[in-house]
Formats: sequence, C-alpha cells, structure tokens
Amino acid sequence: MPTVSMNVNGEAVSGEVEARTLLVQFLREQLRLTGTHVGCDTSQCGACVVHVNGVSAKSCTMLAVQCADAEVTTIEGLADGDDLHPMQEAFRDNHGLQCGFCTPGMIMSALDLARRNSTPSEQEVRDWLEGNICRCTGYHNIVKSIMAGARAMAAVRGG
Amino acid sequence: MPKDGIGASVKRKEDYRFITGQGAYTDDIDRPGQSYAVFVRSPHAHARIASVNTAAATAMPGVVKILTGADYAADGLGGLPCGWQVTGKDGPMVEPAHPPLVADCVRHVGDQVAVVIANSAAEARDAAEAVVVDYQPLPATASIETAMAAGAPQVHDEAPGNLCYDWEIGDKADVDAVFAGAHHVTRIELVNNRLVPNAIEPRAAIAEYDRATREYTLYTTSQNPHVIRLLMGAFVLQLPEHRLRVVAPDVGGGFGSKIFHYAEEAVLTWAAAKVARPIKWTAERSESFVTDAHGRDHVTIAELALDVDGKFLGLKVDTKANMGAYLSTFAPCVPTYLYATLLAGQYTTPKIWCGVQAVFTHTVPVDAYRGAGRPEATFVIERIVETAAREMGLDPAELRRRNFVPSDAFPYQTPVALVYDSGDYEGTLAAALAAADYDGFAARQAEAEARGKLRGIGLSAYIEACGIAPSAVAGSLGARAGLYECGEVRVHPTGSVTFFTGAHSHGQGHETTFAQIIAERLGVDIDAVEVVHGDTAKIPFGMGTYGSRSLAVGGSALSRALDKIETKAKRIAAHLMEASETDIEFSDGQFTVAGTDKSVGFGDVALTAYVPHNYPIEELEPGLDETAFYDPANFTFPAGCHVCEVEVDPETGRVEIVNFAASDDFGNVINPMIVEGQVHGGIVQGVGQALLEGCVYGEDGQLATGSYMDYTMPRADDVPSFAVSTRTTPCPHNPLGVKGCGEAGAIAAPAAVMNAVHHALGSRGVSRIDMPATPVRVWRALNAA
Amino acid sequence: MYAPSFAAPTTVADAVQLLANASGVTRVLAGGTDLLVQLRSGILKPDLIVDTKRIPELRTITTEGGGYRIGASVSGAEAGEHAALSRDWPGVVEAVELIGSTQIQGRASFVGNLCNASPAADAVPALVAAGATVVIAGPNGEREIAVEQVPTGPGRTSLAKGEMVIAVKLPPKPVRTGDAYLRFIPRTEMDIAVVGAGVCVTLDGQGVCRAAKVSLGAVAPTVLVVSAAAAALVGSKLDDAALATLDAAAQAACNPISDKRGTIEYRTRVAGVLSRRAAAIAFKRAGA
Repeated sequence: MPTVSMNVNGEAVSGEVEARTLLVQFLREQLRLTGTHVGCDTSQCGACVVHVNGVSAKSCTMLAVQCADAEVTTIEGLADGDDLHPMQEAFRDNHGLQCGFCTPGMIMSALDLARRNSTPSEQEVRDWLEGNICRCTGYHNIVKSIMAGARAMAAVRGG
Repeated sequence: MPKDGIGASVKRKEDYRFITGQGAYTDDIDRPGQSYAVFVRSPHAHARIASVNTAAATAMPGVVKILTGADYAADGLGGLPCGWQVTGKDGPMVEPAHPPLVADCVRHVGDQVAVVIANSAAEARDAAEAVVVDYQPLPATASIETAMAAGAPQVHDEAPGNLCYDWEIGDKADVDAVFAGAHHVTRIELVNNRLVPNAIEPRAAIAEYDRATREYTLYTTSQNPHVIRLLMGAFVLQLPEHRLRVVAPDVGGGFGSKIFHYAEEAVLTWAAAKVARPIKWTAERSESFVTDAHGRDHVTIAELALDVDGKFLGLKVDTKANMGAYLSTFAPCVPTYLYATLLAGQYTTPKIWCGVQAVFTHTVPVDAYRGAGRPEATFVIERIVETAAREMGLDPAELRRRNFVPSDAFPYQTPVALVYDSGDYEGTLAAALAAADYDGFAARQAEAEARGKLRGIGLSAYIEACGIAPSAVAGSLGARAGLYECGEVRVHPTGSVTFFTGAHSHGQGHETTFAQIIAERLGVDIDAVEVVHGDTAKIPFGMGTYGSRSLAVGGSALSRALDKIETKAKRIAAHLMEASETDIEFSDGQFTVAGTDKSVGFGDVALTAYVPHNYPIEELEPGLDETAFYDPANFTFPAGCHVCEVEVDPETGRVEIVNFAASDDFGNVINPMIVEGQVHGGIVQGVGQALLEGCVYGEDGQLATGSYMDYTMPRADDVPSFAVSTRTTPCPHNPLGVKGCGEAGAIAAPAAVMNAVHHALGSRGVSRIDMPATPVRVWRALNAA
Repeated sequence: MYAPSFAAPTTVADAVQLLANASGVTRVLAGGTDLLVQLRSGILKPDLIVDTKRIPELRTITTEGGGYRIGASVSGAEAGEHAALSRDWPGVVEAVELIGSTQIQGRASFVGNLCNASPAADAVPALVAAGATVVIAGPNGEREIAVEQVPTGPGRTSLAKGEMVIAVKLPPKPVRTGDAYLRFIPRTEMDIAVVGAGVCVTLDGQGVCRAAKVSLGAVAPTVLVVSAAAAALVGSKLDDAALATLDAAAQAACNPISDKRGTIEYRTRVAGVLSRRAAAIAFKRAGA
C-alpha cells in the first residue's frame, strides 16, 4: 500500500493508505480526527469540508494520496486551546448549530467565504452554502453566524 | 433571578464541543478490537429468497462471520415489535412479523438478508458483494392506489387487500346530516407527499458483549435509548434489561427517524455475542434512504360544510395512509390518534368524522416524522378552510376568525376526543398578519404583476397536541408503553448539580435549557450544572424525545425532582438555623427564616447533606439526590399562525418564498434563542415538503429518489430568513407552563406555503397543485389551466 | 479485493505515456468530483487513476494573443478569481462557477465537466457560445478542436486512447461582444440540470447584432449549437420579433434524450425562455 505524508493542522503526519482511500477516511479513521463528518455518499452534504492548501474542499472528493505534501486544516485545527476562532464564536453566539453534525463543514466552508469576502451579504452567504446541507437550523442562524463571523475576522485582521 | 435563568437566551453549553469538532457521535467511537458490519440488502421490492450462498464471501480476506436470516430464525428470537396497537372497525390491526434478518421473502428494497462482519469496513463491503442471494422476484406494489386495487400483489398473506386497519372517529351519519343542510360545501382532494427524514448524521451502531460480566452494550443513534433497551431486550433478543446497556451519545439530528427500534441494532447486538468482538455499522446515505422510516404518505378527500355566514358546520375526512412493508415502532398511531384527533384545528367545528385506511406496500416502513400526523391534519384543515374562503369570497383571515375557539372557552372539548387547555388564536393570527404586512399585500401583488410575476399569500393557523402523553389515555388508545418522563437531580456536596434526564438531546439544546431551569430554581451558577442524557447505565429511566415532549414532560419531571430537593433542603436549612420548617423561605440560592435576618446558602445546605455532623439524622437521610417521574395530565396544545408570501415565475414555474412570518404560542419560554431556532428549522422542513421534497417510488417498488442527487433537500438558497415571534398563554396543567416548540414549523409551514402558491395561481385558473410544488408541476398546472 | 493504482505525473508527456500504456479502465482525475462519487458507489472501478493536478502547465491561466489558455486542472473557483477572464467572458465564468456546489467547485475543473460528457454539463454551453476550443495531447502530439466536438454522447467523448485534454482556449473577445449563461435547476427529482443556455453576441456601432452563437445544454444527447437561434439575433436589436424567433428556434432544436418525469415539453419551453433571457443579458454586456 502507498504511504502518504501531509501536514494536518500544523503537524506532519503519514500513513499507509489504499489508492481508493478518501481523504475523509484518512482523517477520521487513521488520524482519529473525527470532527470532519460524513453525511452522504454523493458529495452533496458538505459535512466533510476541510481546507487543502488554504482552500475549502469536500474531503470525500479527494483521495488521500492526492494530498501528498499538502497542508490540510480540519475543524480541530481552528481553535487555539480554549481561544475559539472568531467564526466558531459567531456560530455559538448566533445559535448557528443545533445537532452539530453539519457544523464543522459549515464553519470550514464559511471560513473560505470570509477569506474571499469579508462583508458578504445574506444572499452571497446563501449562494455560497449551496454545497452544505443542514437539516436542523433552517439556515437562518447559520447565515447570521457567517455574516457576523466574517466581519469579526475582518475586525481582527484590521485591528 | 440569576442571569442565566428562565427566559434568558443563554448561549448553549453544548456548543463548545460541536464547534471544535469534539462531539462524539456514534461513528466517532471506536471500541478495542472492533469489527465492522455491512448488511446484504434486497435489491428487489418483493422476492422470494431461494437460497443464500455465503461460501465465497466467507473465504474473503478479513471476514469474521456472515450471518443470514436462516441463522437468526434458527436461534428462535423475536421480530421487531410494534409499540402501538390500533383497533379498527373490524378489530385489531393486522400485525405481520418483522424479522430483523429476512429468511424467506423480502418486502422492500433495502430489506436486510444477511450481515457480513469483517476486520475492516472495506473488507466487509467487498465480502458483502460476494454473498450470492438467489432471489425469485415477485410482483410489487408501491403506492396506496395500486395496493388497494383488486388483484394487487399481497405484501402479507395475513392482510387481505393489503389492509392493515380500517379505523374511524366520529359518527358518520351525524356528520352527513349536517352536510345535508349546509349552505356551502367545499371539497378538496390532496396528497400528503412521502418524505425521507434525512437527519444529516446517518444511523450507526456499535454492539459489544462482555463475556466476563455477560453484559451487552449498544451504542446507537437513538432519540430514546431506554425504549430501545426495553423493546430489543424484552421483545426481540430476550436479554435481561439489567445486563443490557444502551447508549445514545451525541446524535446528529433525529426528526422522528431515530425513535424507532431498527433491525440493525438487534442484529448487531445478537451477533456481538457470537463473534465476541465489538461490531460497528454505519449507514451509507444511500442505505439510509432505503432503511430509515419515511414520513407522511397520505391520500385524502375532505369536505367542509359551512352556513351562510361561513360558520363551519361539519368536516368529513377520508384518508388512506401508507404503512410501508412492515409496521415500524409507532406507525399505526400516526395517521389515527396523532392525526384525526387534531382535525378540529383551531375551530369550533361541531361535527367531525374521519375514516382512515392503513395500507401495506412494498416500500420502506412509514412512521413518525417531525410533527407526525399533525402536519397532515393541519394541511387538510388549512387547505380546506382557505379554499372555502376563496370559494365564498371571504377574506381567509376573516373566515378563520369567525370560527376560532374563543380565548374564554378553555378548557375546550373538541368533537374528536381532545380537550384543548389554553390558547389565543385571535392573538397569534393578528400578530402573524401584522408581521407579514397582510394589509399591504395588494400593493405588492400589483408591483409583482408589473414584473411579470404572480404573487400569493397564504395562512396556516395550526394547532398540535404535544407533550406526549398521559399514559392512561395513550394506553386506552393502544399504546403499549407509558409516556411519562424521569429525571434525577443530584446535588453534589459542593453545591454543583448533575441532572440525569430520560429525554435525549440531538440538537434541541437540553443541556442548556434544563440547566437554566435548575439555575433559576436553586440559584446556582449555570456553569455549576451538568445535564446527562442518553445512557441507560446512568439514567434511572426515560421515554425519550419526540412529540415536542422533552420540556413539557421531561422538564416537568425535573421540576418535580427540584420540588423534592427544595423540600429536603428546607428541612436541612431549618435544622441549621434552628427554625421551624414552615418558616423557611428559599430564593436566589438563600434559605431564610421568615421575619428574621437568618440565612444559609444552598451550598452550605448541600455540604451539610453530605457531611451530616450537625444534622437531623433520626428524621432525615443524608444526601441530596432526588428522582421524579412525571406523567402529564393532558397533552399540551401549542398553536399559532404562519403566513407565507410567494412569487411565481409563470414562464418557468419557479416558486420563490419572498416572506415568511410566524407567531407561535408555546406557553412559557425558557430560552427564546433556542425556541426561535427550533421554529426556523421546522419551517424549512415544512417548506421542503411543500416545494422541494418528494419520495418517488416506481411502480416496481424501486426508490427513484435514493440520494441527494435525486431527493431535493432544502438548501440555504432555497429559503429566506424568517420573522418569528411568540405570544404566551401558559399551559395550565404542567409546573413550568410550557407547551413545546419542536414540531410547530413543520406542522404549520406546508399549508402556509401551498395556500400562497394556490393564491398566486388562482388568478390563472389553477385549482389544485400537489406537494411538492416543483417548477415542472407549477408550469404544467399553469399551462393546463 | 479491488485495488486501483494511482499515479500523479508532473509532465504532460508522462501523463500521456501512462494513459497510452495502461491496460484496463483508466480515468483522469482532474477535479475528481464525479469520478470519486462513481468510485464510491461501485459504478466505476478504474484500474488506474491518473491525477493531473501536479502538472504545472495544467494549473495556470495564460493570455495568448488576446485570448486565454486555461489549464485543464484550473478549477471553476480559480477561473472566477481571474479578473481579466471574468471581465472578458463573464458568461463562461458564471457557468463554471455553477459547476456543482461551492466546495466541489474548489476542485471541479472546466475539463472534468466537459470530459464527463454529461448532457447536463454546466460549463459546456457557455464555452460553446464563446467559441472555445480545447487542446488535446496524445501519443501523436497535440491537436485542437472545438469544444462541441468533445462530447459525442452521454458519457462518451471523441478522445482516443492515451489522449487527454490539457487546456481550454477562449478566443480574443471582439469589440462590443457580450456573453451570458443561464441554467435552470428546478431541483426536482432526477434533474441535475434542466436546461442551460449560452449566448454570445457581437454588435455594431448602432447596437445591431452582427454575429451570434447560441448553445443549449441538457436538451439533447450532447450540447447543441443552435444556428437558427443565432440567425434570429443577427441583424436585430433584440426586439420582440427577434426574441420570439429565438425562442421558437431554441425550442425547435431541443431533442431531450429521456423523459423520466415527463418533462420534455417543459424542458423545451424553458429552453426558449432561458435563451431569451440569456440573449438579453448578452446584448446588455455587449453594450446595447
């Protein structure tokens, strides 16, 4: 079996994988980073969104071997100890989650939007979230969370 | 009042672990020595199993064991039980066997035939593909219409004509007499479309058996672990409850679909003893589509009789309900006691008759899905009321007002068994209309027309019966369980509190809401309260979370346990302050003696309870830990009004929701932020039913909508933000005055949306369009009209 | 046990050699979105997966004589972030940004969408309307063909064994030219995309259309070039008569391959509607 090495949440990791092993399987099963979730088998739900080289990607649409030498960030890599990332804070402050299952994918996806657009409108957030399904919140508070989180991130960068 | 007490929008205590990726859902758990299960499932809707050959599969790498329906049958164990017996006109319902692994005949696509257990999930999957099942396909029937037709393929020999039961409520002759004298009769036919619940966490389970203690443990994605323990232990596998532990850890949404006892839970637990290793199974989404119980699936004809002033005289409803291939845990009660008993709605309709025929088909079993029966009832009532208003040229809001149960009429006995306890239907209607700017609609409609768009507005004044349920009432109607709830309040020596609840939180925020109640009542900091749920080894008992019951029933159990804590703590405080018990007052965490400046804090009392040096030990046991079971006196009756405004593009048939406002009466509200979140989520499930979601079976019983590529889940860009608010009439019969909010949105929204769609299309001559009102359907209706 | 091999060549020559010498089923992983879904479901079990994301020249957008050469691994999102490309060919960029959802889009490439040869492939009608070509590398060197010549039927392409698309080329944008793409996904069951309409027009100084190309997706086994629809626009200022002729021509060209949900008439009519609406946007962008 091929060996793959990558950097996940700032740490060099490597493991033996099959060619068909998906990135999400490598993260969950080998690295035990279970914050990245699997909600479907057709790359629709977005519960498995992580960042690969700084860009959001569904980790079920990439093979682990494709990520050789890549920088991968998962939901576990965002907070600095108890210091939450502003986007995480925004989700808590705005009740942007209920069961929490889609939440890691939502937050990772939101971060990529905030990187591109620090003051997204409601419609821009809704359009961006086309690839993330939530069954609990009706999206109302997720949209609020992301708008607030993006602005908070911009404020942190600005200040 | 502590700042995090009742009525405060406290940020959720559970969120930290979820937003940092540290939630522990079933599939996140790995047990030492764990093996993996994959089920071999029927690709046919109906087939006889001639043989199952596992030889080649057993020889494949990593395979631990393969078990078939024949193996299960050989062990002489039970089938999956049904928890509710409905008795129809001709006697008790037909209740066919429901084997966890099928040996002879498969009855829906996805029916489980064998389980492959291997060292890895990939090896189990590979071996499952190598199990050779010789199926002899038989004719199948998937829809209510075809299943009821003469000569239809039979799902079960013991159910001729595929009829499970033929049930009715009300006196039909009595209602017919009212119709004979009516000024106007409105008649509608409708389909309540079949839905797939689609909690984003797929179902999963891990079973293990400890040979040393002979104890079984099942981790499962459940809304009610104690119910699973009872059903699986007592009825299926005949395991002693004291050596069977069921854990429902973090659960990623349920919406009803995780209430039921599923085959995989029993098969894994049974197999775990045979392989003496933990076994994990996690559903693929495509597997969820063909194994999670579906929801709704009714075909209904309804007639409403009105007098010349628009007063409702009588309602007749004839419903056929699809049960699927087997009776899921609570399936039979959904189209009967959770549906027909709600057909009075918010109105004083004096005479109501409803007949329900439940039908078996070669499809996945249908059971409770968010709202369960009440969305179907609301859809019938609110569609027919709106239609009647349009037919009689009355403002739909005004027609409703003329028929509301007045605010001073409670308790109000409906003609369909229920006694409504409280409500203010005029109030929620007025608030919703104001929030929706109902009066400004005509101007908006004209503006839209100038842009080539058709605009419509629709109301839905719903009521639900929640807080399920008084056990004696449920029992008399066929429930095979009690429906109380249990809570244990454990005050620790240092004054912090752990609350063990039989309710289960899978998104509802119990860890926060219950903590607020405790913080308010005991005057402790909310961070000094921990809520524990989801483990039969920790919690005395529980009936779980469904039917918007956690707060109304589970919260009441908490309240009763807190009563006991307070009573005992007062006795301890009286002893410490050398005062009479009757003079002790307790507020903000301080015990005081009336008329004096003596006081002692809750923490000191807690410590004294566990360090009873100065203590009335002859009269009082040490410790401060109390359990209460609460059985409700009545259902609770949340009610309200939702208003939806849509714009239709007549060239493409696309419906856009441009405004949605709601006013709900949930009784007293503990955490407004959480309540609003529940309403938002419910509305979108309702919008999904109205505009997007529809489970489609081919007549051969193949599921055509078996993935997110085909089944249209609502996405963020399908819906707007919502204007939601609450008005309160407290529930008079439970200690917190609460009613429940979890299902309201899903109950109210479909009728609001569809009334708006019909309003928009009415000017073009469209009279009927079924859910989901997809662009193709709307376009067709416009072009056929 | 099924165990595919995986290769990630770093030059086009190496990739072509791998593809040409491979036996069994071979698939190129450009973005990987469609391929991995098929792999997971067991629909497809390739023996060799070739990841082309590590070939540098496939990952860049370059300008060539006023036009653009977009490497085959460039994602829709990357295209959307290219300011000049977005300014010149907004219809094309909008189309590729629609491929899949946002996070899929982070990886889904122009070419993957094209080579998947789905009649509903989103980017394709916009590329066709814009007059795009593709550069194909193979054992016998490179060749360049029009985009519409790549798909030959559902799931089938005109690529020979050992060949791969390495770039999409967009021509220099003529003055007073505008393109637009609209698609309609009603998100009803089993309709990945109901209709996609790409329109590109060039106007003269008086705002009269002098050249046009209209392309429809998802209404026939492969992407359509509707010359009658284009002819309806040429010589017009997009008046009502031209719109009506365009609508009728677009409808007439439709030949949907399947009618699972009885949507043929609907698809056909919506093709007309979208053609009209896309034409209006294209005219505006051309300066009308």
